[in-house]
Amino acid sequence: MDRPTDNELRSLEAEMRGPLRRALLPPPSEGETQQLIAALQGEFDLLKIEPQSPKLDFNPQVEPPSLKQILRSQLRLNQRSILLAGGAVFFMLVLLINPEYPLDDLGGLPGGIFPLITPLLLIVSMLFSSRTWDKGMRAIETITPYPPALVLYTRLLLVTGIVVGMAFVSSLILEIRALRVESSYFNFGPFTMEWMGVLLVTGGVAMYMLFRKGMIASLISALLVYALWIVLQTSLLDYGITTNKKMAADFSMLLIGLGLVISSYGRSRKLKSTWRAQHD
Amino acid sequence: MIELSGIERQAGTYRLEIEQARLTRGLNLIVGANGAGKTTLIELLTTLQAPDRGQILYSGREASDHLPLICSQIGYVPAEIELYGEMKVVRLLKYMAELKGVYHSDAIDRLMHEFRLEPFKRSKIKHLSQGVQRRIAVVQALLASPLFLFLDEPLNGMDAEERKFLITYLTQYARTRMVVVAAHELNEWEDAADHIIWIHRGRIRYNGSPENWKLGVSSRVWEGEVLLDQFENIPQEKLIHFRMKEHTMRVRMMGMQPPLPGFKEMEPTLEDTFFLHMDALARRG
Repeated sequence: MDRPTDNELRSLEAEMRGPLRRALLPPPSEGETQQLIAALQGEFDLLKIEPQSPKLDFNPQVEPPSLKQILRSQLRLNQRSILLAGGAVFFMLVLLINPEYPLDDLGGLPGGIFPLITPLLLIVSMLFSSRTWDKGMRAIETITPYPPALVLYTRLLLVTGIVVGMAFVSSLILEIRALRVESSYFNFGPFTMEWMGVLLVTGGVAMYMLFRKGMIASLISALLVYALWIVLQTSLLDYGITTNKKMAADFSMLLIGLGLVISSYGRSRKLKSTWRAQHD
Repeated sequence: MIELSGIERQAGTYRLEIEQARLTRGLNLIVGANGAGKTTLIELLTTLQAPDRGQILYSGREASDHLPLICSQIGYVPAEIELYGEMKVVRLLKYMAELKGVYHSDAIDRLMHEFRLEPFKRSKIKHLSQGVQRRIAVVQALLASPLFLFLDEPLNGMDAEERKFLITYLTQYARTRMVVVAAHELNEWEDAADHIIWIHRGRIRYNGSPENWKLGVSSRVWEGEVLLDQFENIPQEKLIHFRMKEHTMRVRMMGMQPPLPGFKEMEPTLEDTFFLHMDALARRG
C-alpha cells in the first residue's frame, strides 16, 4: 500500500474537523469539578487509610504464660551446679555442727554457724544464676512475650527456693542428730526461724534493689543487711534477749523478707526492660 | 511494617542517627562496613536497646507501650551466641519455646525436621559442630513463627550447603513476613534480598530495592585476566575481587574505563555495588 501524501492527509483532516468537533465535550466547569471531588472524597479517605498496615496483634502461637509456667521453664535450665555447691556446703555444715551444742559454734554467736552461712550462700547463688554470662543467650532470653524482668525474678525465686529447701532438710537432720544425743540446747523452731528470717530478708533486699537500682546496688545492699544482722545479733546477746522475743524478731524479719520478695514480683511485672538490671 | 523516626542512639564511639526509615515485608538486607551501626540498628529493632531519642513503630504500635505484644512477634539470632552447651538440643528448644510462651511441641518437631536436626535431638550442644549450633540458634528464633525475624550474620560458621538451605528458607519465610538480615557476605544474598538498607557511619545512606541501589552507582565493574607482574601494578583501591589461576590472575575492578585491554564490563553484584558506593563516598571525602 502506498503511503498517504501530505495533500491527502490535509484533506482528511479538513473532512474530519466537523465530526470531531461535535464529538468533543466542553471542559468541565469549576462547579462540576468540585462536585466530582466531593463525590470521590470517600474513596480518597480510603486511599489514605489503606497504605497503613493493620495494627499488630499478639502472636496467636503464643500463650501469655503464668508465673508457674515461667518457673517451670527456668527449672529446665541446668541448676546442677547450684545444687551440687549448695549440697556440699550444707553437708559440711551438718557434719561440722556439734549436735550436743549446736548453737555454740563460731565464737558464741547466737544461732551458730548455720544462719551465718545460709545468707551468704544465697547471695552467691543469686549472683551466679541471675544472669546468663553469654551476651547472645542473654539477648534471646530477654525477648519474651511478658515483662522480661520476670525471667530474672523467677530465676532468683528458684535459687531462693533451692537454698531454703536445702537449709530446711539440713535443719531436720540436725534436729534428728540433736534428738539422738538428747541435746537440750537445740530447738528446731527458733533455729529454723533464725536462719530463715535472715535468709529471706537478705534475699528480699537483693531482689528489691535489683529491680530498682540494678545488680551492683543489689549486691551491696544485701551484704549491708547481712552485716547489720550480725551486728544486731551480737548486740541482742549483750542485752540478754529472751528466746521468745528473739523468735518474734526473727519472724518479723521473715515477714519483711517475704514482703520484699512479693513486692519485687510486682516490680518485675512492671519493668519494661531488664537491660539496665542485667548490664550494670 | 516498622517505622523509625528521629532515632538517635549513642553506641560506643559513634552515634546512630536515623531521621526516617521504613522497613516492610520481605527480606531486608542491612549492609555496611564494620562498625557502621548494623548490630546497633538490629538491637534497636529487636527492642534489646532503647533509642536515646525517637520512636520505633511496629505496625503502628510503639515498643515502650506494647513490649510483650511486640516481643511475641520477634525472633532474633545474634551474631555471636554460645548456647547452653550442657543442654541437649531438644531440651534447649523446649526451654526456649516455653520462654516464648509456645507450649505445644509441634513447632519444635516441625522445625527440627526442616532444619535436619533430628539426628542431634539427644546430643549435648557442646558436642555439636558450629554449623549445627548455628542452625539451632535459627530454629529457636522461629519457634513462635514471628512476624519480625532479625538475624545478625546468620551464615557465620555454616558450610556451603547450610548457607544455601538457610537463604532459601528465609526467602520463603519472607514472603509473608519481615526478615531483617545484617550481613557482610553480600553476594550470597544476591537473589534473596528484596530491600537493601545501607548504613554508613551510623546513618542510613540507602533504603530501597537492590535494583535501584545498583542503578545509583557512578562507576562501572570490569573483569579480566592479568599476568602476575601486571597484578602488582593494579591500584588496590580499585580492586573488588581477585582469583589466582595458574599463570594469571582473574580480577574484578571498578572504574569508568576498562583498566586494561581485554577487560569486559560486568553487571554489578550487590558486593560490587557496595564497593562502588563506598569508593564514591571516599572520593567525595
